[in-house]
Amino acid sequence: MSKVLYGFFKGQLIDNRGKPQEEWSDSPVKIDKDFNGKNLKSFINWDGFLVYDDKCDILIALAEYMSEISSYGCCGRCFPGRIGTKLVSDELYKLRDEYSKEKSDLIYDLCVSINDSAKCTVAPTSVIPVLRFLENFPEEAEKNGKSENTKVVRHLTAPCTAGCPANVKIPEFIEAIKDYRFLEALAIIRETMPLPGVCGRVCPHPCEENCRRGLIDDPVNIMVLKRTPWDYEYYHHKTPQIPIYRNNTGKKVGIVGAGPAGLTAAYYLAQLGHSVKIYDMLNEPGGMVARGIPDYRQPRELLRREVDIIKSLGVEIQYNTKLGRDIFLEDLRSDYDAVLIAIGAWKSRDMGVEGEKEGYEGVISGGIYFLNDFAAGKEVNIGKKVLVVGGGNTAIDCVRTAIRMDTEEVSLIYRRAREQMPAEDYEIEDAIEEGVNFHFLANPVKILAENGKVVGVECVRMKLGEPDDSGRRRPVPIEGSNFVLEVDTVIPAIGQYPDLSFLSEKDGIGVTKWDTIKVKDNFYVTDVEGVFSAGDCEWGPNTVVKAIGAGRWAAIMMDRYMMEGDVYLTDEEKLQLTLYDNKVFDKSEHLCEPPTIKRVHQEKLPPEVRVNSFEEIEKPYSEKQAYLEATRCLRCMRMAMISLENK
Amino acid sequence: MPEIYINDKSYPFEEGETILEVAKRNNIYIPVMCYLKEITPTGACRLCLVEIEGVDKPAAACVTYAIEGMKVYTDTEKVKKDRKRMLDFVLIKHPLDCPVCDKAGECMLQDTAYEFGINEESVSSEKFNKPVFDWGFIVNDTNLCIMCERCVKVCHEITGCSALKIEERGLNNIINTTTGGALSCDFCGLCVDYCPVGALLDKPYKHSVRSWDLDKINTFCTHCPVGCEIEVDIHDNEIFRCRSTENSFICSLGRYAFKYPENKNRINSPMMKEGDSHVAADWDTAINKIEEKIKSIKQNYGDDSLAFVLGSRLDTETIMGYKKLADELGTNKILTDIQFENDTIYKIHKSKFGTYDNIGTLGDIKDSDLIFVIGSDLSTEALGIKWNIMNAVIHNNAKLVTIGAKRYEYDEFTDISLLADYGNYAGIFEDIKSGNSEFSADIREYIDSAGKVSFIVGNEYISSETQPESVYAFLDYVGDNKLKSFFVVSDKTNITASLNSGIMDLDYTPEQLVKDINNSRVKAVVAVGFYPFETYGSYKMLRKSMKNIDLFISVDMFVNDFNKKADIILPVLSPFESEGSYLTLDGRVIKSSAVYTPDTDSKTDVSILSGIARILGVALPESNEEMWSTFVSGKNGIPAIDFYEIDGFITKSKDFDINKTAFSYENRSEGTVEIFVNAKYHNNFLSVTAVVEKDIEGYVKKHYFDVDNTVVSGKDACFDGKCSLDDNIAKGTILIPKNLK
Repeated sequence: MSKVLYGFFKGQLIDNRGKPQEEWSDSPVKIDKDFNGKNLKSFINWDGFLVYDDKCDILIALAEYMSEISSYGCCGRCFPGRIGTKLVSDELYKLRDEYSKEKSDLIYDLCVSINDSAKCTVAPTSVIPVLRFLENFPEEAEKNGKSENTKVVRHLTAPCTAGCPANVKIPEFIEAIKDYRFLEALAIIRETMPLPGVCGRVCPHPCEENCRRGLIDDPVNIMVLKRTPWDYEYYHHKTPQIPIYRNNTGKKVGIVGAGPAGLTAAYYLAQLGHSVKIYDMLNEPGGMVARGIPDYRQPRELLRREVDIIKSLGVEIQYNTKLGRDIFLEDLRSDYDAVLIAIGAWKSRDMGVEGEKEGYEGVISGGIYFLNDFAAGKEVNIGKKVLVVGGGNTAIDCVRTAIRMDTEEVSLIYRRAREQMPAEDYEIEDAIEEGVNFHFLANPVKILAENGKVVGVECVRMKLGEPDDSGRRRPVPIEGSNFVLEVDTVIPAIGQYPDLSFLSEKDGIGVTKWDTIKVKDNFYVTDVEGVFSAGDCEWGPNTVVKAIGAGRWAAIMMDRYMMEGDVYLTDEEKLQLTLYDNKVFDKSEHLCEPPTIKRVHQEKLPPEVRVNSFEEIEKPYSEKQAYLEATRCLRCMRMAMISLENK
Repeated sequence: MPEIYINDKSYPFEEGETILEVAKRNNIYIPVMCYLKEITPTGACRLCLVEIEGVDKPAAACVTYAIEGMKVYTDTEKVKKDRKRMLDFVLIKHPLDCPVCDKAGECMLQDTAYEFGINEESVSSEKFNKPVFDWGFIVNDTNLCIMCERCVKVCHEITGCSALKIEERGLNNIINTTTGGALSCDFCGLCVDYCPVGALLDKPYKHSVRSWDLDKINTFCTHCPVGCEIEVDIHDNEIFRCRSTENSFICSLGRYAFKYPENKNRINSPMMKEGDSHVAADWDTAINKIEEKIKSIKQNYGDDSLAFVLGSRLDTETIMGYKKLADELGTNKILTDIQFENDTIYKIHKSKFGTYDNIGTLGDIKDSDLIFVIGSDLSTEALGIKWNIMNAVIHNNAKLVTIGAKRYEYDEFTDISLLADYGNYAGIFEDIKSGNSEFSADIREYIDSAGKVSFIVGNEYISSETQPESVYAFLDYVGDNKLKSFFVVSDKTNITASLNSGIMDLDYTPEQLVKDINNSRVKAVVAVGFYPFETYGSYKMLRKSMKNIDLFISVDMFVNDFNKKADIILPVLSPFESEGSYLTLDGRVIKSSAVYTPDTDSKTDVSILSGIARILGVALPESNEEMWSTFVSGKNGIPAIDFYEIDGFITKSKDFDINKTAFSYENRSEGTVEIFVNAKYHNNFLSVTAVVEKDIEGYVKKHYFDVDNTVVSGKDACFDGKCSLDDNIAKGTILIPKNLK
């Protein structure tokens, strides 16, 4: 853990000057002292500054910070940001040359003006460390010339970007929408997110939990804004313009799994000039997005357009090919320069209740199998009264699919309360509107059958007890509260895990205790050189956006492995991940922003219409709606910088 | 209605209005520099900072919505200090070259600094050393740029060209072209007009005159039938600059094509043929000569041996006056240039709507929710229409479908752009009606959900569709209850007057005229403002037959390759030198003003007409004003107002019916179509004469774009042995500049 000599951070003054190093404070920012072999000297960001080294000239570091802000951090699209920040930098350098109270006061005054008036938050937050420095450590400014050569590393981010597993440059693309430049917005999104048409529809949008507008009223509708430029390109019949960054490298990559992780890695690797081939066990692309997410949320023709774009970069996809059955890891290793395993998590967990494994007619062995078979167009035998067990997205997708089929009664049973359901709240609301019955705080204990056919499920009511490891309150059965639900079909949808049956010990690939593939943190490389893994099979079942983020990082690492023989993080990437670990969003922040217009909602099919079809429920924004929603964005860009010893 | 408080007084507002909009509407002053009514707010300059009760920091009024109960203060010491500092930031880096800057005197930065009482830089800092781009007719000195983004936004949101972008970040950012190379756009120069400082300047204007020495006169541009208001800036009886006004967005023609009166082929006195060339004469000599010749022709060939051909760029008084003259003479031997080209469309239009007039106004285009641009390259026909289309798309969510010989420059904004391969527009309409293709199904959906549909039909369609009624039948398919506007676009300034003059209804044709000439039934031709292109239509035929007449009188500003054979050329004043009214494409009545006094012996068309009429024994008024009040005002739906009341806002009445169009699609073979088009930045013979170079003490100043005679073609079409694979041009289509030799 790094130790702080002095600084000011989030309202907290730290001053250990004159104390021996052992007595210095722990850094309020969790950050490594070592950056690729170089020592950390200072950290400066929107919350203040921290000095880690007694030889650090923080005044010069602040001058450099302001200089970086004026040339890189700030977009330059407002007067105070474009010029004010440069003047502060210039004046800080002059202050080091010759200190005077007047100069110091002028800088202070300039900073206050910039803080008051700039357009986004880069410039206003950038003057915070300078203001805190001048207020609290004037004597450090008066000191003379101990400046030494340092290396400066900076990273520009935003709370939403940091909260997005795919690190989409959210304020930047929203700015382009404000300018009515939809195709430019799309190009920005695609820098880190090759499937915006999908993620703009089905993402649980963790970005919105990190939206500062949400601290005043509703967060910006980031997800729908993200699909808007994609919809613009699609509905305006434009040909996607995808840049290629490098000529053919002659390197070959094999990817197993054409789901979001595999497709994402393929996209970025193809952009970098590598030949990519994807193998998939299904007969269509998209993996869990194609088969696990019903068409009313993610129309598959739109998904296929996304895939066609990726294929247009030269990526080849071979279907109906399963790892461990049709292709084998050792062959892939010898055929390709790098291999990515991105096979998802397709095995359904058992409920562990009596009668589940008796082979009764009416017990479907897993929610994901039900969705998969239905999506594949296979005959799915369900009865008229369907009960789905579970509270996640798969469970919700199962009930909403079942209610669109020839059924009379569709119910969902979940052992915790609605508030704890992992599924999206709006989806629960939608399902209720469509007529799904919900049984909260209840759990099946036994499947009842007559003549080998399911006739009902015996359940027990639950209450919430003490919190478990995950922090959620553990559900406990209420004795004697058993009751029977009369159903003819039971679909368990309580969880999934990857099918790693293709692995054998001689492959040498480690597996975690959660039945996922073990990789080295942040590098996505397995125990075997040249074999990488990302997505649900590596992390466990998670969101599409998480798989996309992992797929992109894996692609970066695979590229370095193939081109440079090693996987590593650059100083800036290390700073980036440090910022994410420390959270960029601050829930307790007091905002001084004026109120604005209400969150703009997209048009939606009414329940009585949508329950009869698999037509997409949520319609695109009009461009005007997108513009209005975009204007709600506060442009919460901000920059952090570290100075390192230069060697 | 919700209300906000500004400086403790309450004001109602509509949801979605910004504080600045409410303040402006109520005449509460808040300084601005980057704000422009017509574009989305930028929030760059921060001069509009205001304080809001309960909000710790000042907010920019241009991007902050008015919210019920909000209490706003526009004039606190705090915001005044912050505003001053914002301006200070700019001035610190802005070169203080005001004495040599062409913007001086009309510079927003200069004015605002004065208003704020800034007389020195609070901090000294090195000035920029950034590039100066020479983009042909526009110069961008990025050192002077304050990065307000008006130019970029105007170019994107008003013109649809998106030719400018912001390059680099932070302090290093500059405005550059989207491609990073030469500026490729309409050269409407709106970016120059809205640049608050001297960063963007018209090159022909640069270093020519001081702004305070200019007399600024508003008049109307007469290059095309859109009829935009322009400001003409005069010094020492010479035009130095034209630009848009608060009522108009203009194009390159209105902006840069103003030096044609100084073209070396301009004639300033009557010219009489002597041998192979002309010699100057005085008016009496010329008129006497005409009188004498006409007398002898009449004697030899009869009273009806005289014909008139008119250009559609003449003012309304002249066109209506010649028609009156023909009526008085009892002849039908009068034609306009429309009839020499393809006039079928206008006849179909009339049978469809019962009028030659276009349906709807330019404003109706803005108000449409579905717009079809059908075979019209607005950039070379009537660019002003495009601004209205862009407005509908950007501010009104309108769907835009283009069907044309090529993809137009605003393709980024189209919902669907289709190429009419082999000039087969009717086939595309059939496809839409049947909904067979992916595109046509989508277009049907647009039609189904649209309430107000506009049609813009232009030269590419008129020149290549073999069933020109098909677009009118397509309107029937769309549904006449949805019709918002229907424009047949033309590059002819006063086509609306020509069409309304009744000349078209006289049943005389160019073929008949040529026959009459060749059979010696016509021996004298008076060509007024009439230029027959050498390459197409019935023009060629006329050119050939002209040698058979005995008297060729040309009334024109210039000597050109047609009237150089004329026996007598009578010189006319240009629209910058005389008053005349015009009817625009959407029926507004506009008027040109004399903005300087030319050194010429030329007369107005009306006065020359009066002279010719007198020879023929007919008395007609000598001035436009009298001609207007006697033969124009109150007739043909033209409003009964006095000449001086013409202000560009009053519109001719435009009653119309809608009749069903009988139509059955005829299959056609996929043959090559040749379409004669205007060269880029040019829309008629007049614009070509505006290519004027002036030598000023050894420095040659160029005043308009050269004519680019490049022929372009799509796949399956070859021209002059060259074949093309251009995917952005319709298959089997060759676009040939009109006067290519």
